[in-house]
Amino acid sequence: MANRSSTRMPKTEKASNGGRLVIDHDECAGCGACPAVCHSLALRLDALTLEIEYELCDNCSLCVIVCPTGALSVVEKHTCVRAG
Amino acid sequence: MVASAIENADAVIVGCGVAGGLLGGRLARDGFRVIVLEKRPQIGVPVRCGEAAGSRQEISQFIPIDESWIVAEINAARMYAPNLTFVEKRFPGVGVMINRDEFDQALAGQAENWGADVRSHHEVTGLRWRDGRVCGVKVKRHTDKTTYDVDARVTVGADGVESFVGRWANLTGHLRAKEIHTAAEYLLEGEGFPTDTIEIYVGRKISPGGYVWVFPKGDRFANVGVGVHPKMAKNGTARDYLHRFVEGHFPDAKKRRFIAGGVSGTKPLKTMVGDGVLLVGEAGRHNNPFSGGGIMNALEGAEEAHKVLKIGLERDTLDNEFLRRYDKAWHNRNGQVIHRFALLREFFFKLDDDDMNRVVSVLDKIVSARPGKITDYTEVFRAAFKTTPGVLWKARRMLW
Repeated sequence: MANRSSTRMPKTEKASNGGRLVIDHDECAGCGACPAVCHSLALRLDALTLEIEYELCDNCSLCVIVCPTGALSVVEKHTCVRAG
Repeated sequence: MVASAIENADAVIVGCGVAGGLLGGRLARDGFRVIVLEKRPQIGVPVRCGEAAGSRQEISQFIPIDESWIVAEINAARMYAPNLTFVEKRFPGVGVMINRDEFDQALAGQAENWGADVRSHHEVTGLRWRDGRVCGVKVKRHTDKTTYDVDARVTVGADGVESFVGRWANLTGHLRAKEIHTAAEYLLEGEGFPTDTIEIYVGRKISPGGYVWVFPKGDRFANVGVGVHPKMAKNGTARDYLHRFVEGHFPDAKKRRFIAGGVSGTKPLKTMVGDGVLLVGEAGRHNNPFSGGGIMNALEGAEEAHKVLKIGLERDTLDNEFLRRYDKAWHNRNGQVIHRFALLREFFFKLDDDDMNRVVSVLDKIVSARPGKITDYTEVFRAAFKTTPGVLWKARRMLW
């Protein structure tokens, strides 16, 4: 049966730094690498478009590390142009 | 609140790639009501694959060969060391290069011809549960933004590396950074590509923790890709490494397509089944964790799943205990080999460029000295380890 909890933080990553994950949709190839490593199921390819469920994301940045095109980044809240 | 419509099926298959397409077709051929759900608007698109497959004979066990999706022959493999010395081994007829999008569409077409209900642009958003067992899926139809449910006797996760079915059913967790390769690939048009040889370049500088591939795709075309270990890649993304390689080796080639993806590199799952649910293909970690290749493994995994599900559906026995037959069958067919490749992958991470130069040099001597005798990859590597003590030391934890 289940041998891993889907809500456990990856050991390799630091906890939230108060930033916010953003997607550059022009760069995103819709490849599915980031949902595969997202421990909190916050990332999802909706057909072909990557979506973030911010309530679940804790900015662990693992998705940033594995993105093959550099489409993901975590920006500090005060530099983030998006509301919320 | 309006209740979702509910459809009934014997089997619902999430994902219409290689494994989902074959399994859905075979179950439909047996007379079962099968629904195959694919979230992408067009099956097989976008491609996320290097597109090297097995031989015509091997493929034809699963689908009749159609030359329209075969674009090149693979008769040899050549591996370049960091110092650009290489070892080449000819394996006439060992495989073919395919157009993966057309291949997936052909499998989906075969499934439809056998009676499966294949629906693209239908995204599964969750599982349905009843009395602690999976009993179907929740679906979002993208074309009109409506939702519906499918009530099924068995649910199959064939949804690739990110397998949400596996996550929801608590069969898999997220991949760690060390368990995934990230990859980027161009379809290049130009001169100087191999015609019937797959070329591999290794080296920590060009592809840390992974390799570069140059796969022929017919006259004047090639798939050129890079896979890297995300934690070892300190000089940019997989696409950055790909850019550097292409600029260095094929500066004049025209870039016709860019694709990217993640490939799991894990040991086999302890189990791929639960009550009323199982995983196939990369969702079940069927791909080779060392090479990343998974087309043939997915076909074989789907074949094993079909054998067990056919009996299970006939007997209406689809609990965890019965479905473990599939676990066992897969383990005996490919799981043990995958386990070894996972160990080989971990060992590969320890090699520096000098080690790789030595390994390629030794492999070249072995292959040259015994051209007709080496038929198996383990024989090559065993011989290499025996003749290079330093490498053998790094491999001491491997279980050959």
